[in-house]
Amino acid sequence: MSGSRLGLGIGWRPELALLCERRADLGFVEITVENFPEGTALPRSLRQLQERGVAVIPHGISLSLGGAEPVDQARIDRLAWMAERCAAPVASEHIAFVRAGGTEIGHLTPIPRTRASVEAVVANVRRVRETLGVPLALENIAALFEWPDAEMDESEFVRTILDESGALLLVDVSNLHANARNLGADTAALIAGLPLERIAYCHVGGGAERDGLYMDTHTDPVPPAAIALLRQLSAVARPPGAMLERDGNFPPDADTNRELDAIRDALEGHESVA
Amino acid sequence: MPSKDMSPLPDASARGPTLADRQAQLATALAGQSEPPPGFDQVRLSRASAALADKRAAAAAKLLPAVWRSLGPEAGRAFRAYATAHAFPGDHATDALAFGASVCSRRSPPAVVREVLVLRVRSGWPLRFGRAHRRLFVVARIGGRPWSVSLLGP
Repeated sequence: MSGSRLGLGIGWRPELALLCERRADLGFVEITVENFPEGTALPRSLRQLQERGVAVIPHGISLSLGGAEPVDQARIDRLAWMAERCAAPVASEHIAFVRAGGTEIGHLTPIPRTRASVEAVVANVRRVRETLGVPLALENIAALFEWPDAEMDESEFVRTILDESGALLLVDVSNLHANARNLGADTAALIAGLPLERIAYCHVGGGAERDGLYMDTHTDPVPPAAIALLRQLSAVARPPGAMLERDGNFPPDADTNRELDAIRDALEGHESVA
Repeated sequence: MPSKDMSPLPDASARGPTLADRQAQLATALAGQSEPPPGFDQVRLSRASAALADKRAAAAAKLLPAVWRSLGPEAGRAFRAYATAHAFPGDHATDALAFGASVCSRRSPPAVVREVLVLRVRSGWPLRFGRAHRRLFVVARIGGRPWSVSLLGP
């Protein structure tokens, strides 16, 4: 990502604030924009991290960039405002939709890999970029199902969207793992086909098997396969940064620190001792 | 007098459903408000729909733990009944508040009602305030009766 190195990161949550303060090797934290009510000050813990030189990256989950409907300007304004307030080097969202025809789905939902979808995402990303003062990175999502009428494979789909929109890439290696388990996606082919030179940073989250499906819960331990994918990616692309996502069921700090160590080692191309 | 021009009028339906149509159809199916669209793996759609309902319930339990505990073993069933009748409003706090208000009754313990009111405050709801005995109270109608609850504790 234009040479800027983010290093090791974590999704900042109030429950992880103390861990973040104690972890001296953090290069960045990611905050979920929708978790911060408008008009409120950033928590003191975040401000202290910023003073320490830790970058803060706003991450949106509700823009619905993959929706056929134009993205809501108020949501764009909120993302842009947060990016400016955090002096963020980049902001991020997803290749997904979360609402359509007045129905809120409540989750990041896949879009068909068609030309019509590419045009919808590109149009929405362009709307965002008109307001957002920093680069936008787009994340691949985990899905339990696929649309029936794909016109291109996943890597071509992502590459086309990035080429035409000018967006960067946020690679969620756990989502790659989930889609390999649930949809039979070929992660090696996908990694080989993605525009790796556009990677802004990577996500690594936990999950668990439930009734034969792998669920990307962010409330369970990180699977070794996700760390292995990050190591595989780092061997060919040297991503600028990688971070842990943990949203609930928080384990003792020692467990979270072991996961962060493993992510850092994989990012740097070392075998983890954890 | 009808036109004698017999050339076909542009017909949106002849072009098939648009991306917007198809996304709307999938969204309502995932929300449990319509039949699954054709061509999808129906079992997987059903699992995804169930996962969404579980996610809503887990968020409500986390945001309103006292409300959830007050319902005992019936909490999950009560939330499913609520969720079937109420589409996801777009954020989990609003969803939890609507659920909380739906299960509070005239006999709900003050601690349960207080939890709903505190979440309303945190979510930026418009509130009415009252003052009594030198203390500030939030005044609201929940569970069919008016409540005056101190945000500083019982």
